[in-house]
Amino acid sequence: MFSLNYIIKRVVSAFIVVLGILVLTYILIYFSPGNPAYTWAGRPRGPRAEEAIKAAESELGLDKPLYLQIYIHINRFFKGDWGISLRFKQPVISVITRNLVASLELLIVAFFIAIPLGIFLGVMSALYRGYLVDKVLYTISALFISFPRFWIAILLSVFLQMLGVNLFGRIAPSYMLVIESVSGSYIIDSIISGKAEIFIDALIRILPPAIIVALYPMSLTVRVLRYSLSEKLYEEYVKQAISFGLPRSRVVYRYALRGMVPAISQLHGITFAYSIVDVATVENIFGRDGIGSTIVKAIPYNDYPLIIGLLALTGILFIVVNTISDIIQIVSDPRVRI
Amino acid sequence: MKLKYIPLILVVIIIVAIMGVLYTIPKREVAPTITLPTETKPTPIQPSRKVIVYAYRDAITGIDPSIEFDTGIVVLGNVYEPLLYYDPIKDEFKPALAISWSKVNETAWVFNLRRGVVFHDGTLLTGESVRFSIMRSKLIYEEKGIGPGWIWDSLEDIYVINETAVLFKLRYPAPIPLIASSAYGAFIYSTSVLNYVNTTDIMDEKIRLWFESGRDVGSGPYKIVSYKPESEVILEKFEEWWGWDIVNNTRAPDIVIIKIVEEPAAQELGLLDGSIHIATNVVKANIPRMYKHGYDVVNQTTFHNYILMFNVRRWPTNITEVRKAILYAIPWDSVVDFAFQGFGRSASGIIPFGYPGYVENLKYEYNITKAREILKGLNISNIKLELVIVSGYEEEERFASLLKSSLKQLDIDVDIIALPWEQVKERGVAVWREADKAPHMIINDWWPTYPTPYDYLYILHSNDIEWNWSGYENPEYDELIDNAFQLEGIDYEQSIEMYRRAQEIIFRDAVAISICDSIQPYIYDPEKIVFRNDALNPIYMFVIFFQYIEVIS
Repeated sequence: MFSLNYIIKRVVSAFIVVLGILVLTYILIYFSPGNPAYTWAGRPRGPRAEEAIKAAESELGLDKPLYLQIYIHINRFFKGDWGISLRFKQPVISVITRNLVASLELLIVAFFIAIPLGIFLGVMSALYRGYLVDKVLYTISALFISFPRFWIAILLSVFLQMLGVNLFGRIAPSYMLVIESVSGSYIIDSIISGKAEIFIDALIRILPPAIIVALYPMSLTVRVLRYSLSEKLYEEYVKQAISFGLPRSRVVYRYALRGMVPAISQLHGITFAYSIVDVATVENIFGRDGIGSTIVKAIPYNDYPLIIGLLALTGILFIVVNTISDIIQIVSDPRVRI
Repeated sequence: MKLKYIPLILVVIIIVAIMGVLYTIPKREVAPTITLPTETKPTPIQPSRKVIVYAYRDAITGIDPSIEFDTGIVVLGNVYEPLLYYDPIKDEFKPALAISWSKVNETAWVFNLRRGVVFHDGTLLTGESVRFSIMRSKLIYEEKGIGPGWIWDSLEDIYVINETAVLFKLRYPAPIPLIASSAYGAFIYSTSVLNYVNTTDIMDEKIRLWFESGRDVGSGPYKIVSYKPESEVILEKFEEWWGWDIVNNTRAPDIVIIKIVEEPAAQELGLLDGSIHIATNVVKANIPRMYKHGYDVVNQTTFHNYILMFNVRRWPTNITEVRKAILYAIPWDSVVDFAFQGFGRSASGIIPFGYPGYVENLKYEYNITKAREILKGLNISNIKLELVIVSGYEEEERFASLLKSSLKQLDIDVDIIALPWEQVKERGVAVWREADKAPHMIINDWWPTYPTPYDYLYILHSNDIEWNWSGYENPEYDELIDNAFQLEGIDYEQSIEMYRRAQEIIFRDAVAISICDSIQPYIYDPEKIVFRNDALNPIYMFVIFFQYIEVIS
């Protein structure tokens, strides 16, 4: 199953990715306009405002050379001290933790839509390749792959506003009081506490952004399946199964599609990670909490501990998801060795 | 052959049906009452409690009562109390934690504290807590320069006379009642915070972190239940608050949710579907439509104004006559109606109407002919000027477009640069380092810490290189406002007169001018809530004193 080589490779790549994020982000923020010390000092006023900013620069280590600043930050980061958010004055880890669940909730719901729908439509497209249904699906999936999701999200958001439908936020504000936070996901917590009304509210609010996020992985699945599955259908074992008189749907879904599982899992491993970026933009457009909304609030204030923390976490998530997709590949295809 | 389309059609029908069912469910009116989640999971929420959702536009920047100097006031104003409040409209003080106060001599004031005041952790208000809170503000500022503690510059020390009386000993005469009613840096809290963080050091950073983690030891009518500065803050009614009998409001909200909703459309839709009860940031042009929908608006006079500052160190705005020409070219009558959509008052000078030190008639008239003549006399034409504004501020954006189109008549091309606030500040401060790279014009939005004209006028003091974005240096002006400030505690009338003269200098030199005294609309559903008169006070920007709000359905 897993070789020691694989584990070492994964750990080293994770380390390099996080290190790269830390260094690059720090350098970018360093050269961007604005002074983080000013935010940390709380927008000082009065006769000693200048002094306060200088003191804050010293406290944050911003008066040191860039290489030393980066070294100190990396050192602290790997010791688990991600610092304090300059804007929110709270530990970065606390801010990230409570927003991560919100983003993951959206991402997971999006993939709950994208995977089954993508597979179903991909199979349809493969089975009826060349027919009208295939042409329609092919065109639509091409459009959804090429169109930026944030643009579609803005269009949908404006359209819903014109209809007077309020889907901003993760849940109606007053519901926050009647639901006990167990997992941080309102969908799960509403099920746990048996609150159907809250579950529906959370579902209504999450569906439009989730559908937007789902467009890319779904369309990609359709395209990949259309091509690969239609080839599989001409393989000997499939032809033989059909000649034995097995129902076509059974042959497709039980035999032909099974051979596609490693490719699909790998595809979703990559698209899941890419979709984190979509989540970050879409949740901001729909006024939902999450890592994307938080990063948007942090950037104008040069809140570099929070920005770096959020980006590093995204990198870690990327690696974790890819590792999971590798595991699925191994489980579904014993020939795979990594 | 057509059978092959059936599965696809079925899937489409199912999806459409599910979406249809979900989105055609009648829009839920958020019930102002809530019920206990379950009996087995005790929560602080009781049945039939009155809930208010207040939509605020910016994230909360902090809640340390001695340090916070920005949007945290929205929370702090309900959780903590100063010794007294000041009402600038009526020009009167209102007792809060102090019931009376008197001047002993020029440099000593005695405050008698209210008896039986309990902090949210059950400890009692004492003279020691007053000393602790105020001295912490002062010392943090003196040591680190952060926070609003500069307001206590005149204070030498506070002496605890007994459990209910304190003496403020001053280094120089100052209007202590005004300072004690400051919107920032004058909140009183329990000394028990020292025990909670296990320290005896008043300056210990752990105290700040303790507050910022969402805890409080205030005495206000509401206490913090949940604090997520980027998204929402939940406050709960503090039943032991000393003022409930005085306020006599049995319909005050039990729970207040301060929800951060940046998007104006989201605030409007939230009002319409009942999930938001009070909105502060609806597109102003849509407010008349809200009236038609049966919503009401409280228009609060504010001391939040927008000051247009000229770079006096860069050509051509370094020429006083050019600055005057620009001011004559602004169609001032249109500023309130167009830029502020009627939610403003024509400004005079840089101090807003109703604020101590306001001076009438420091206004430039709209006279494009005069402006043209001035520029012709200077032989200046076909110039390009930079104007920096804060992106996303509707009023500034509209004013900028108005200015641009008006100056076009003078062959002046205005390059409008909209930036995030932090970068606006960076560009403004640059006037002291590289004046030629700083913008010719910049808008600085300002609101005061405590009611002194010095608060507004200091932003043109040559020492204030963090806020004086015009680069203006005038020793006569500096001396005048410094002396006026020192005189406030001795001869207030005389100091106000000196502030008036200082404003005339600014007006004469055309360095900076307020483009409008803004009015803040609070939009709400009158069938659900009632605003009492004392719910708003312009000194405490964006603070709704929820003890004066009635939940009626």
